[in-house]
Amino acid sequence: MENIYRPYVMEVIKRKEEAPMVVTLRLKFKEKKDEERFSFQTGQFAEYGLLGEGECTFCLASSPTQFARDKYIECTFRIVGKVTSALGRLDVGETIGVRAPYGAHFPIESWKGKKIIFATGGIALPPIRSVIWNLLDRKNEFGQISIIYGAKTVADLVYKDEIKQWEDMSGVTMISTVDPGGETPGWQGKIGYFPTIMKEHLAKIVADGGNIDDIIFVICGPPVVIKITLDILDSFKVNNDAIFTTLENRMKCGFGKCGRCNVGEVYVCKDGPVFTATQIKQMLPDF
Amino acid sequence: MTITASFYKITKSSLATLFAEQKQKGNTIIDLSGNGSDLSKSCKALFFPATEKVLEYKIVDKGVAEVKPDNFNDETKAVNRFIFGANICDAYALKVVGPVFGEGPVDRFFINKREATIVAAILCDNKKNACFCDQIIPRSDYSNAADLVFTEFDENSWAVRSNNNRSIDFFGNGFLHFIEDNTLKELFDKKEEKLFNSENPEEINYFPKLEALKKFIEKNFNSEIFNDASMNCIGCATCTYSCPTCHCFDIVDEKKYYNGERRKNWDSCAFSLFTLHASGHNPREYQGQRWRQRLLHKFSIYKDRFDKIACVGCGRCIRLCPAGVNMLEMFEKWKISIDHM
Ligand code: SF4
Ligand code: SF4
Ligand code: FES
Repeated sequence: MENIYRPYVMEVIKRKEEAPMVVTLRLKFKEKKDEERFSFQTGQFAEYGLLGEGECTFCLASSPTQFARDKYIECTFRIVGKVTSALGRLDVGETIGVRAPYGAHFPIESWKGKKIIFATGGIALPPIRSVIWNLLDRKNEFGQISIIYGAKTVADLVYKDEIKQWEDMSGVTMISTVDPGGETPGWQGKIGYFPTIMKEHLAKIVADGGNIDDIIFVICGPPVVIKITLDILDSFKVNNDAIFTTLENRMKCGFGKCGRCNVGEVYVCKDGPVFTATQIKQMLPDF
Repeated sequence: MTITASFYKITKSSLATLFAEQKQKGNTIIDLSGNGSDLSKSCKALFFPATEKVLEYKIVDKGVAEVKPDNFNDETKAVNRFIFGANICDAYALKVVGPVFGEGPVDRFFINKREATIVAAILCDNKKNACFCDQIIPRSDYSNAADLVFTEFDENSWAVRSNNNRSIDFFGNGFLHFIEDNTLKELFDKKEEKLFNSENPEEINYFPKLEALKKFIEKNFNSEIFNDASMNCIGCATCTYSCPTCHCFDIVDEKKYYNGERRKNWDSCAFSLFTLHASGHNPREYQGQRWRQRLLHKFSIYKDRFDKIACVGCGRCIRLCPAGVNMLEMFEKWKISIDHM
């Protein structure tokens, strides 16, 4: 009989500081049998824990295709509290407990053949990064991919190396932006909040005679920003079923028992974290 | 599914003998009947303790952990118990929260305890201060709420209603202390009838229709009514901790040097930190929003997800609140609006 609170024991095989106070850990299963029975889909999340410190919720920031290939997963998080501080101090070779995978995933199979626009900011890129690499690993099945990503300052952009890779990749349009005042003298990207930059991008598509109807949108950010972004998409009359987002409510258990992640009758950990704009708009304003 | 109950009589002295025999067999007897009318605690904590170890570990070198014990069964193992003297409402509450722990990934900590325990409730003689179970528990579920239901037959003996075969399996030969007498059904029916028809205490005359209440809460979601109604609330969580159906918890580590435990601790929607995001954003910043969640969860969300109301009308939240917050008073105050939904 299974103890659902028992984590997989994993080992840190790489640690990277993405930005000030933002860390990525690459993790490998300690036990072969755990590795063999583990699988996940893009958009799902995990509880990462350190014995003696506690557990924290973040998405699985690497792609399932990556796990299939290299047998590791990654998480990226900002150091804000007790548990994330402890996780941030972990070094290569140290152990971490992981309970996963939880929640619903992005329905990427239904996006085949379509263009996809990702719009996100700051530390909300990690969940999206999993999707991006998942699609890029199966690039011929999907259309043009555009990534609009913003951060407060140039230093705050995460996955800087990957952003460079995406800039150089054919079939990918990478638009980076920083908030006004966050640019460095040599900054080549845009200046402005990512929803604004997304708006410009859409206006350009429309001006060029492009069709917005067959584009899938994946947006992610703090609740206020999601609301603003949805309003912009509404002004372009984007179909709400073609807009996907992932909510980041406070969670503990990850499987619908501890009772803290609900928005009205929706349990983010079980019914989400991935939702369409249609679903978001039906929710009670409690997130 | 038709539930056919059978009825028995047992003398109080035979019951004492049975308990002694059971203890000798290594079974645990928990007698709550001494509490009599002390309704401050429900039997919830016997299944879902205020704090419960879910993992034990030792940190070896460089954070390399030994998670103990290796065998899943050991962590979730439950002892055989017989709980005597629970309140009907609290026994019913176990049925209400059962699906939270039993559906989806099964929480063996709760479910194993429930499966290893016989719950014997005692029928209430009258409604007590702030009880409103009759408004909530369906009449047909009332006497089915526990595995066994006891009611006093006379000074020396109990009449017993058995709702399933679990007690026979549990007691084995010990069950012979119970003498079958199906004419006792009448006694139960009569007592229930009397209870359901008795005067409601404290003029609890109004309980809203659930559909209307749901609409009312959703319609007034961002209005001031919840702040007004919970103005006195100090966020102490007495209402949720004493509630037999409240089941929210936190997962917390406790470490001493290199040894530690991961524990499941009661938590409460009444606390400001309950929903605080890492970013500092809190969807429920005010106590009113937390009270709104409490009402919504109990009377609407839970109903939508598990087809039951997460309240059994035990009245504890009303009786025990140090600030006099009373949800029946809230309903009464909103009566006209709710009824117009
Ligand atoms: S018991 Fe009363 S004061 Fe305490 S949290 Fe509940 S309503 Fe508020
Ligand atoms: S909400 Fe109040 S009356 Fe209802 S079961 Fe909980 S404590 Fe009892
Ligand atoms: S995280 Fe525990 S119920 Fe959703």
